[in-house]
Amino acid sequence: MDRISTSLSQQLGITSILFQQAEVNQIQQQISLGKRILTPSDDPAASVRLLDLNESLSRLNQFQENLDVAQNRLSLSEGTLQAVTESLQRTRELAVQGFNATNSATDKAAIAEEIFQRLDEIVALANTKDASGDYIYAGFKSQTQAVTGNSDTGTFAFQGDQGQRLIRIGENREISDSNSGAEVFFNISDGAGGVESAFKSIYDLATDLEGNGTSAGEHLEQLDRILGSVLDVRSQIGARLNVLDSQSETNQDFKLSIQSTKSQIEDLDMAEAISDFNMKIVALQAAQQAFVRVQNLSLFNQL
Amino acid sequence: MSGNLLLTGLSGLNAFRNVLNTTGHNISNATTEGYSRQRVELETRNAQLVGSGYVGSGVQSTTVSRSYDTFLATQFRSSSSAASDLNSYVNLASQIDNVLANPNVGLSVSLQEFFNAAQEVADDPTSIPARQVLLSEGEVIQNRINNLDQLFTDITSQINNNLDDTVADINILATGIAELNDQIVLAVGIGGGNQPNDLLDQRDKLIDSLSTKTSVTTNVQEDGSVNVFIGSGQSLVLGNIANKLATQPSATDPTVKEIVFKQTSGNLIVTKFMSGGELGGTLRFRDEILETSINNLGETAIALSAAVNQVHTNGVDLNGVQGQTFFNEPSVTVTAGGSNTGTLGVTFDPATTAELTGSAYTIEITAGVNPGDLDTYAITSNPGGSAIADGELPAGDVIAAGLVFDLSGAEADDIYTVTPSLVKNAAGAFSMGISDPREVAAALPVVSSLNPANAGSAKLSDMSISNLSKDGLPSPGTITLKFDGPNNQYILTGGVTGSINPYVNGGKEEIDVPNFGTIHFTLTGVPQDGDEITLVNNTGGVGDNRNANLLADLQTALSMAGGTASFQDTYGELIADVGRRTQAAEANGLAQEALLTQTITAKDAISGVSLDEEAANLIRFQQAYQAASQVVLTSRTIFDTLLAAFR
Repeated sequence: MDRISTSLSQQLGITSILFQQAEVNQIQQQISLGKRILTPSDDPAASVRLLDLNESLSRLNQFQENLDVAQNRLSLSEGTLQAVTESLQRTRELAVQGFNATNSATDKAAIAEEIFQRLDEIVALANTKDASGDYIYAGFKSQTQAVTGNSDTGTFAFQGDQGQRLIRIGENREISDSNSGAEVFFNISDGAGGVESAFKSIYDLATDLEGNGTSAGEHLEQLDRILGSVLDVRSQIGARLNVLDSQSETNQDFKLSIQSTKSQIEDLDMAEAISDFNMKIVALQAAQQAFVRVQNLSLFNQL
Repeated sequence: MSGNLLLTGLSGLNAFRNVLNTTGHNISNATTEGYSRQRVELETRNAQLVGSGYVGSGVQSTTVSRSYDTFLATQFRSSSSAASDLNSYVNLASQIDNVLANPNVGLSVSLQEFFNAAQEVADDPTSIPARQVLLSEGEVIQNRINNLDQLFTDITSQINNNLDDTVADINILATGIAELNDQIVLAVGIGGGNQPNDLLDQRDKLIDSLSTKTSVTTNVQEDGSVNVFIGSGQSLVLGNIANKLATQPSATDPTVKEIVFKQTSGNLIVTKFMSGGELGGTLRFRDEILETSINNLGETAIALSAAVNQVHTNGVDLNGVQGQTFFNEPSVTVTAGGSNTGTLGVTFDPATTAELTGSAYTIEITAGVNPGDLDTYAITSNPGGSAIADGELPAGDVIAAGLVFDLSGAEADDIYTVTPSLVKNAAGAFSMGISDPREVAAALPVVSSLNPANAGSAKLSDMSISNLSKDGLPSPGTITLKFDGPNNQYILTGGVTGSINPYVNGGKEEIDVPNFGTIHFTLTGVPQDGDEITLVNNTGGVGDNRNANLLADLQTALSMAGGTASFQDTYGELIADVGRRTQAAEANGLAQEALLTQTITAKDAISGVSLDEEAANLIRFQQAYQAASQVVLTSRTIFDTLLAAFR
């Protein structure tokens, strides 16, 4: 039989109580934070995994912000080009109406006047700025007015460049948030192997009409080419907006899946933790009571 | 007859008084640390031969011995060395473990926020607030790296203090042991071989305390003294002589302290031999966790600044000016020889920071022996002179020992000395290089455009710049790529010559532009003969976000560890490493505590005082003492009876 010395029995009792207290403390912290892992040493592999998941999550949130920016810009561009389309269609109606042989020179001049106004309207639309004051059709030169000229000068120049900004919307996924005015308004085929700007074409049309011109044919063909070009760009934008929608869903799905993995790794099973906690409290109380009872046992009490 | 009985009774009284005294001593020392239960050894006195045989003559106490087991004592010391080693280790390790992954202190979140801010700039390059956020996040990284470095510096000095304190404790203990050796030898001599139990206990207690400072081995001498050895067999105590330990700054790194053993011949460095105890645990923590953490952070600081600067200085800012260094890079000092005619540029290589040593390097350029031979270069460590890299002088970079040597400007017979700052100093010196949001280089200096008359569909994309030396293309300021259909190549004109031959759809191409830099890009699509792509200065290109995107790409780029790890990976590796080591030490610590408890229980079963046992002894020997007095009384009665018979 082992001898148990008085001081050791006391020491062992205290050690046991301290140990139980540490356990209760650890689980109490876990419960109050709702986390299973308090420091990396609790589970080093899971801690690093969490770090990676947090990075992915942070990137996804950023992609979603980027995506919103791209969506706003593309929607603005789409809205602008819709207005341009409407203006061009009105111009076409006016041209068809204006070149009608029954019109007098005065009538033609009046109609031409309205076309000049439509032209200025389209120039203004081509110089649309976004919320941060950037010209949306100026390419990289976003703080340089995209188009100069008006129905008075009759000469139109593109001041921007062909730069197209790319915006990250997902891992390895980027999308252009703009179209250069060069593509939308300036480099439009003239049907003879060259290019001409939409503004110049409309100006020429109106000028011809104003000067009592009679032949609408070529003008209308060119107007149709301009409308076609704008529609091309609009359908590109539409396609990009669709991509944004589906990427947004993909991002949300990823986010959900990462959050659920994260929760599996780091979150505490509350029911289990609380039942554990109760057990540990009972064990601690038992250790304390046992200590008091044992310490009261001494032969000296009987002498 | 009755005289003998009297003496026999008296012998009992004497012996039991000794026993009762010793029991009292045991009870009094029940809680004295290091006390070993004592017991009086009793034996019968020599019997007297009378006619009818040997008649016993009572009892005598021969000696007072302590209940002590040398084997268990040794085991206890080795267990307590191991337990206190792990305890010190865990206490220090958890300081770092707690901090690294803490989102408010660690580097991880600030890296994410920094690169997110780069994406925000890419979203809206003309936005001053977005640029300001990028700068602020850069400052956050600077603070985090500086703060972690400060933490590591604090822990380093805490360790230096710990080592000083522990060494002082060890010296005091050694002196105490030597003094007790002296007293014990004297007491054993005077006591005629009887052991001075309480002195032995005191000495053992000092040796026990010593074993919590560092591992010890002991050797008991015949005269009763004990020799104590530490480290790899250095004699700390020899008889009544105590040797001294001390600390001194390391020769290779004055910020850390070495443990030295003082000898008449000079100080002997014994740091690497010290194991176990607080000393062992502290030194092991310094080697395994602290040094690793400091180096990891330093490498990250170097790699991050080098990688970000590489992108940033190849872009242009909101004013159209070439980007400056975003973070101040840890310095590399290049000293040129007096008769040099060329130049040498040296920067850190983000991918191979692990190869950085504290060494300086000498670079020598040697002219070719025969006319027509190429010049050669040789890089050697300094001092030491061991070869790092050599060969024919290249027109560009040589990457060696964690550094990029740009040899393009070096000339024959040049000699240079290169001194890179230490990795461990890099984190403390990490700081922001720019402060004006307009100086964020979100754009590239060059923009491409397609000739509207192009008949084909070829496009240029994915542009990036390297080795930018100027923010504008050289005269005439326009580089034209014109497709030569019959030969399937692009002819280059405008300040450059040559061609891209053959044209490959999706091919990654580059054009070296003298006095400007190298333009990298991808060509896609199907060009037609005569199609043109032009490259011009990106004047006014404030909406350009290409360089901001390249900056953001660094988040996941494998910039470190030989191109196998991102910044986050490297930091994660550190967290995992510290976590694993702390976890292992905690687990071993628990096991060692259990073992120690077991050893203490076993040791205590022999040496400890049980008050119940002593109470029982008290009753038992009190009764024996009373019985012996009864014997004396009886002897008197017998003597009286005898006297009465003759009266």
